[in-house]
Amino acid sequence: MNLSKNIYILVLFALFGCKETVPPFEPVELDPKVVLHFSVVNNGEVIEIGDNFTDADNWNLTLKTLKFYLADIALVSGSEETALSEVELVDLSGSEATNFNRSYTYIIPKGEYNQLKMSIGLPGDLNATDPTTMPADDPLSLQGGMYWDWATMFVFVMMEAGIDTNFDAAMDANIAFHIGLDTLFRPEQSYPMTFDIPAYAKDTLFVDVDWNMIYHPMEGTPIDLSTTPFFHANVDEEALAASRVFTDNFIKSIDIRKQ
Amino acid sequence: MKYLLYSVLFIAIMGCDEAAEEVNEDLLAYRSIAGLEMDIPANNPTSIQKMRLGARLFFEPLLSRDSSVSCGSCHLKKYAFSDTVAFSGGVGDKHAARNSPSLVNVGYLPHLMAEGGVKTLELQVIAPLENEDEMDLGVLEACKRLNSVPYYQDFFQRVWGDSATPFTLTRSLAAFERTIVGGSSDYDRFLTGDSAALSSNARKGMDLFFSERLSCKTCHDGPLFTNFEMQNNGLDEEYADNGLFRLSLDAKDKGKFKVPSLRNVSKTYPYMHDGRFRHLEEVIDHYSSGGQSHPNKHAAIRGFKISQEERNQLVAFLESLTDQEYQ
Repeated sequence: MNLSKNIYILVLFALFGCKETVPPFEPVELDPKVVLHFSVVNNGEVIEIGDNFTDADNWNLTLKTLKFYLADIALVSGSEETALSEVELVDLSGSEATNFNRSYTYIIPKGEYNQLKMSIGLPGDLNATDPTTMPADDPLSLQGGMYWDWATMFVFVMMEAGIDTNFDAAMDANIAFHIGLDTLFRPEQSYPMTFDIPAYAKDTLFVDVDWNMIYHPMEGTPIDLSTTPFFHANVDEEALAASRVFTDNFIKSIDIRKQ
Repeated sequence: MKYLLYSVLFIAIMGCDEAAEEVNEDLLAYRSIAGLEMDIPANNPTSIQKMRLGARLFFEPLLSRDSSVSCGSCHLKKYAFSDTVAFSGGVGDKHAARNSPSLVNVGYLPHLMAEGGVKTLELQVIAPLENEDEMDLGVLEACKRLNSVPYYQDFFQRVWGDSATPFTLTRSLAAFERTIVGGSSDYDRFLTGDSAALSSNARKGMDLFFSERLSCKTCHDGPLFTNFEMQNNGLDEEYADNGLFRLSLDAKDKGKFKVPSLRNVSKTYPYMHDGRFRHLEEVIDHYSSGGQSHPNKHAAIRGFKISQEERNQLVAFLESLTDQEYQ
C-alpha cells in the first residue's frame, strides 16, 4: 500500500514538475546591481550641498537644496526595458541613513544597456497621492518635504541656493525654484549611454545635473538670476513661463556618465 | 525653552483625563442640515472619541511653532468659527494671507481653501500647520510634539491604537471639523413651518435676496447659500491674489474665489477673501455698484438700485441666517 502511494506521488511530481512556464525575470542577489548616483556639476566639477561656487555667468552661489522626483525609471536594452522604480525622490542632502538619498541601487539582468529612461516629476495619479496615507520611507510621504498642501500636489523639482547679488562675496539673497503642477510633468525622457554589466557585478551610473545648463545654456533660453531670484511655478503667468523654461532646461541639463 | 516650559505647564494642567472629557461636548453631535449628505471618507469613519481628540487638537497651541496659536485662534467659535480681523495673526508677528473663513458646515463643502484646491478636510488640515505665516510647525513636527506629551500619547492610543502620525492627526482634526454643523437659524425654523421665526423685515429681505433684480441666489443658492463654484465677483480690475488662477494657470480663472456660504454671515465679518469689507452694508454697496470691470467678472454682478429701506430688509434677512449657538 505504502509502495503504491509513493509511486503515485512520484508520478505526480514527474507529470507536474515539467509543466512550469518560464517565469518573468525576478531579481536575486546574484544578479548585477546598478547604482544611480545623482550630483550637481558646475563647469565639470561636482558641487555638494553647502559648497560655494562661481557659475558660468560669474554668479557667486552656495548650493542649498536639490530635490526632485523621477518616475518610471528604466534601463533600455534595444527594445527591451528593465523597470528600476516607479518613483524616487532624489535628495542631494540625503545619505544611506535617510529615507531619501542621492544614490539608489537596483538589481538588473546582466547585459548591455543603451539608454536610461525616466520621467521628470510625477504623473497625475501619483501627483494626487494623499501623503498622510504613505509610510515614512515612501517618496510620496510628508517626510519628503515636497508636498504643496494648498494645492494637494507635489513640488517636482526644488532647487535652492544662496546668491551674492552685489559681488562682495557674501550670500545676501536666496534663489528658490519650486517647480510643480501636472502641466510641467515631462514623461519618458531618454538619455542615451552605453552600459555593459556582467553577472555578479556592481556598477555605478553617475547622473549629473549641470547647473549652467539650467540657468545659462549655450542653446535654449537662459534664466536670469538677477531678475528671477525666487519663484514658484504657480504665482503668475511670468512664473509659469519661467517654470517651463526651468523644466525644459532641467531635462537637458541631465547627463549620464560611467566615471 | 519656551516650548519646554509650556509642555510642563500643559502636562500639569491637562494630565487629568477628566479635563479632556470637558472639551466642547456641545460640538460633538452631528446634525443634518436641510437633508444634505456629508461625504465622510472611508478611511476616517466617525467616532465620538475621535471627535473629542480632534476638538482638543483644534484648540491646541502646541501645534504652532512658538505655541502661540491654535486652529481655534483664527476660527473663533463665538464668530461661527471665523475671525473678526481681515488677516488672522499667526506665529510671531506674522499674519495669514487671506481672511479666515467660517468653519460652520465645512464638512459639506466639496472643495476647500479660497482657490478650491483641496478636496478633503483631512488634507486641508495640513495647510495651516505647514504655512509659515500661520502655524509654521509642520505635520511631522506636530506629531513629534504630541507624542512627547503623555496626555496625548494616551489619547491617541485610546482612539487610534497608535501614536500621533500624519494620518491620525489629520483624521482626528477633520473628524472634529465635521461636527461643526449649523441649521438652527431663524430661517431654518421658518422653513420648517414657524412663520413667526422671521420678522416682517427679514421676510421682505428674503424676497429681495431671491429676486431676479438682486440675483444673489445666482451664486448663493441651496441649503448652504452657495453653489460651491469659483467665481470672480468684480472686486478689482487687477488682483493682487488671483485665486483659482494660482492652481489652474488659466487666465479665465483670474480673480476667481470659492463662493462662500452665507450661513452665519452676520457673524463672519470682515468679508471677501481679503477681508476688505467690515459691514454687510458695504458688501451690498459693492454688489449694487456692479463692482469693478474685469473680463472674468460673473454676469450676475451687473449692479442694481436699492433703497435704504430695502438694504435694511436685506440685512435683516442675512442676520436671520445666524445659528442659535452664535447669536
